[in-house]
Amino acid sequence: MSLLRALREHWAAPAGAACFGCRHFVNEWRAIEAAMPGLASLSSGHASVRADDGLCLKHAIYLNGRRACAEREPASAPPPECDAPG
Amino acid sequence: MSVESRADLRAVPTGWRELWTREDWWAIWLGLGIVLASLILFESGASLRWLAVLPAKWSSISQLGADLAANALRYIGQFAFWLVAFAIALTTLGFKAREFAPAFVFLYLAALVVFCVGQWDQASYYNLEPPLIALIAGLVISNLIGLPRWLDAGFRVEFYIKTGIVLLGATVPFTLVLLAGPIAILQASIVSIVTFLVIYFAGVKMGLDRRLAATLGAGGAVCGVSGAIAIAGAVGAKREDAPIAITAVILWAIVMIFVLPLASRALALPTGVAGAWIGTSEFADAAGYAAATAYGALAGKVEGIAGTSDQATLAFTLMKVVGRDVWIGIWAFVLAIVATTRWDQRPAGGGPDAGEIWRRFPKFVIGFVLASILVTAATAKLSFADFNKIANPGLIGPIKDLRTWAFIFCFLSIGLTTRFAELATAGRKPLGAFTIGVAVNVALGFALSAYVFASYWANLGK
Repeated sequence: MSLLRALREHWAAPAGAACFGCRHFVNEWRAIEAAMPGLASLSSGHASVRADDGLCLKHAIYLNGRRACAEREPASAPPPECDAPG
Repeated sequence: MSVESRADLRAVPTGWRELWTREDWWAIWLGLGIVLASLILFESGASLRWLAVLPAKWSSISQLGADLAANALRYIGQFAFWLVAFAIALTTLGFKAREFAPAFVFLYLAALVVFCVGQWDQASYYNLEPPLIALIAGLVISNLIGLPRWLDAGFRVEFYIKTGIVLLGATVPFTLVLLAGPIAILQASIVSIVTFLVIYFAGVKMGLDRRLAATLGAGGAVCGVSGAIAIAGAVGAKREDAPIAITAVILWAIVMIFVLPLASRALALPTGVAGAWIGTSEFADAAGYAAATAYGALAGKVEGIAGTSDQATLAFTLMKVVGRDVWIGIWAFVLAIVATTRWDQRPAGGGPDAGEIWRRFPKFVIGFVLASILVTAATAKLSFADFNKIANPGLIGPIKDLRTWAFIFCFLSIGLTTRFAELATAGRKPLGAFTIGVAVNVALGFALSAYVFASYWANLGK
């Protein structure tokens, strides 16, 4: 396998069933820094180590967006109500 | 409005966008840009020195005033350079220029004041080390006075420290990275594995969820807040786990910024040994650089402290960045496998893949290594005497001074963004488990740095 192909696969968008694209999954840096007080003091929502992690609002867990879930709902559905910090 | 209800915050995979949506890459672009500009100017007989201005040593206010007035145009030019460079990066990352600009004006002026205090000829006598002044001033302002939240757009701790680390690479001979790397990795691995296991098993013994215990363990053992969030994501921790670990890391990291240099001074440790100890036992890059820089500055000023200021930052960098930070992807990959195969199942399925190791790799380290290779190659033809006579003042010196600015921006930003009242409540058990790990880490780190590998660290780079 060529290096370019290997890199392409590593960076490729995950399959359709992944948490990406689910209306319950949020991984944008502002949302993550708002949900994790102190994150920007000694790290950042823009850090590479965060990879594709985000918050699952349905199950209240912080996980890799490349994981899959049977309860996935398309992002085109209305956003969920939530009592999280804003 | 809650962040969860904002449609514009929906998730998208990073992919190739990482090259312009992660601050690690922006630190590389900016840091390597400065290094390349410096190299081009050096090769053409010029230098970046004009831009890399710092206050001179002074003993009276009039002397300081005269120096600042004489170099006013250089300070304006340097300010404009930083403002434009950081603004391009931060606006691309999603910050608003109208919020960043006033914040950076404040940050630059505060940094200038910190430098001026640090250059006072009595500063060492009164322990007025610039990193510690910057940190304390930031903490006082943010916790006792308070600044508008939107100013945080200019106080980006990680971006400044990563840019500084890339610039630091230009001042480290690549041969030293190759020679010292294995020792740093060996020492860091011993301490990281022991610290992680101590925190993890102490946490589980106290009844903590395994994922929280692992998140705390990575925060103490690998790379502080960054380690904690990486492992929290890899193992699928509860939403509240990462904030708990962040609180524990921040509290101990700030304590250690003061304790480790003070203890090193009391023990009169050589700067290289102290740097290695700080690199092993501090919990975050930014906090560790503050401690290592503060201690390194005592070299030659306080009787009994052997070594150079560079040895402190070099040893710290090798230990923390090369020895600990770069392994976060492997920690995440292994713990993701353990979490999905051994621990209770989460609603989300799907297994971890080895691509995690690369995706979580702290990319700024690539910039550090490239900067080291570039400058080492460019100066390889120079004799030792010519290197000191020509390359040091014309090439290395300006990069080193610009790096110092980036570090002071970072140290001020740590204080300005650390609001203790807003941190999550860690709870007795998580804090207790983390504290046990801190005790073991500090003792083991000291034993390895000051006894087992002492001669190595004391003579680093000689």
